[in-house]
Amino acid sequence: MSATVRATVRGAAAVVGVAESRLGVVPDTGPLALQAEAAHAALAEAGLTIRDVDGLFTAFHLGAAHMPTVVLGEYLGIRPRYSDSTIIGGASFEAHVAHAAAAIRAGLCTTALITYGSTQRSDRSRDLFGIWGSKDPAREFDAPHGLPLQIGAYALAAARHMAEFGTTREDLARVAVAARVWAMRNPRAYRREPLTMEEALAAPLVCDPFSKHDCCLVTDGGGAVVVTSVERARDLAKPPVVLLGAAEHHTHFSIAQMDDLTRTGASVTGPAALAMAGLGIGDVDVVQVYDSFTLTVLLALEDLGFCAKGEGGAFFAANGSGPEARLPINTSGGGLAYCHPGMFGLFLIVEAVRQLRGEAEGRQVADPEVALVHGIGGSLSSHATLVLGTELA
Amino acid sequence: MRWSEAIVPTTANAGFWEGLAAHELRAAWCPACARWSFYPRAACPHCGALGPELRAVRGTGRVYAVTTVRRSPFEDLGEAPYDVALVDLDEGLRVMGRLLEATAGSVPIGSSVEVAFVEAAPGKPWYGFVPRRGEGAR
Repeated sequence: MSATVRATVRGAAAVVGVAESRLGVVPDTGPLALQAEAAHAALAEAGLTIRDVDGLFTAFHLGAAHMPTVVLGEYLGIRPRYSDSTIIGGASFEAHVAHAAAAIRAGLCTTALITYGSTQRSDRSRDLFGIWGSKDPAREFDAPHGLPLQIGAYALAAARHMAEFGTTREDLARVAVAARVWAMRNPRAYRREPLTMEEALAAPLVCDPFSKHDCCLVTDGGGAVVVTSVERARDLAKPPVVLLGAAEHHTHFSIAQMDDLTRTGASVTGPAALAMAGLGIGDVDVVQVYDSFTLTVLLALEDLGFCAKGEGGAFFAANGSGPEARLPINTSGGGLAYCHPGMFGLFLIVEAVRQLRGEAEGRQVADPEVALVHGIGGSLSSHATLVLGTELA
Repeated sequence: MRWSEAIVPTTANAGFWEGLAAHELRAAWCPACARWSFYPRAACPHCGALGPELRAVRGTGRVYAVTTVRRSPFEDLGEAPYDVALVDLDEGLRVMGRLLEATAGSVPIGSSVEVAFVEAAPGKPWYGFVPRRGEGAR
């Protein structure tokens, strides 16, 4: 038996509250309500409230809600800085305790709430997915208004940004044009022909103020990332790309539940990740930010701290595009021009790593040491920032 | 999918759906912290207290954000473009709503609106907003 003592999660955390909701046959309610009941009681037992919770863990099925902690967080009014929707069936919650302990030991959260709920009996189904969509708040309260998702949600945000800050369709189109400039240099990009401002502005609107050029691609595709310790990485084939900083946060699920459509959770995660890395925004050599829509890039640049709130359009215009740009942004061509198989976030990491290793064929930025990667999910709902660096950073 | 098929009342929210049928838009009011929230939940999302009360709102407010939908997810709303807005109600909460009886693009951000009730199909009450006329209108 090895004599090596390693810091595991032994002693890293303690359980301070436990509760159930009503059990048995509980008609006229739903999984979220039962989780709210149980959460309230477990927190009360510990002398805590939802205001104390900064880590949220759950595994449940609810219609089309494929982001359990984001939907649960919206329902409970919890906006965590650590979020874990690991679903591995009935073992999920034991895994959540271990994950929570690791997060607490690492200082990534202080107070973790782990929940579960189901009304499978009253819903008359052994299928854990229940009746499709019937108890999902977005399905019941949003869907009948006829807003297409996600384009409608981001279009509402764009309308607000234009009204508050004077952002124009040209400001948005510039992001689409720039995506092609990088995509033309990426042998794996899907759309490699240039796009002019005139073409972008002439395209018919789909959901005002967006035309198809404001929207990410719909492609197939997959990706993978392998992570080890830095020590182990040095023994492996490629130069290590080191994790220097990380932060996550979600505030709502539905766009109707977002406090301010022009201010996203990136304003929390960007500064937090950079602070963890001990770096400033000026230390960032290359940026990969989720470009689900053109607006998303401008919002992220503002909230991450590259420019002031409302200045995203002016910043992007002054920055230039392609290899001439002051700050290289979305060097793969992004979701707008490279690929977008549904959730693009993993590909942001792949591109950042290739840039830091000097492997970005045709589009390599000169000697970058620090990359900032920012993923966004839902309707501007969830945000996660990574700061990655070469060993020189 | 047809619009009426998207209207799926649940018994968990029976009070909300009874309200719509009675031409009332009901939201949740928390006696513990005296704040409104929407959609209704088992606990208040502001303070966590159980049992917020379902109460009718006046239904008047202002457009906070609006977009024109030109490709509807519903096959029976696909002909003409329509606007969907986020409306800040006078009570201090925000709800989504389609702008009914209004030409697309004619109800900009800041417009005064009021709730209007419709029936998408028998037993399928729903609501939207119309420009506010008369007293209090912009």
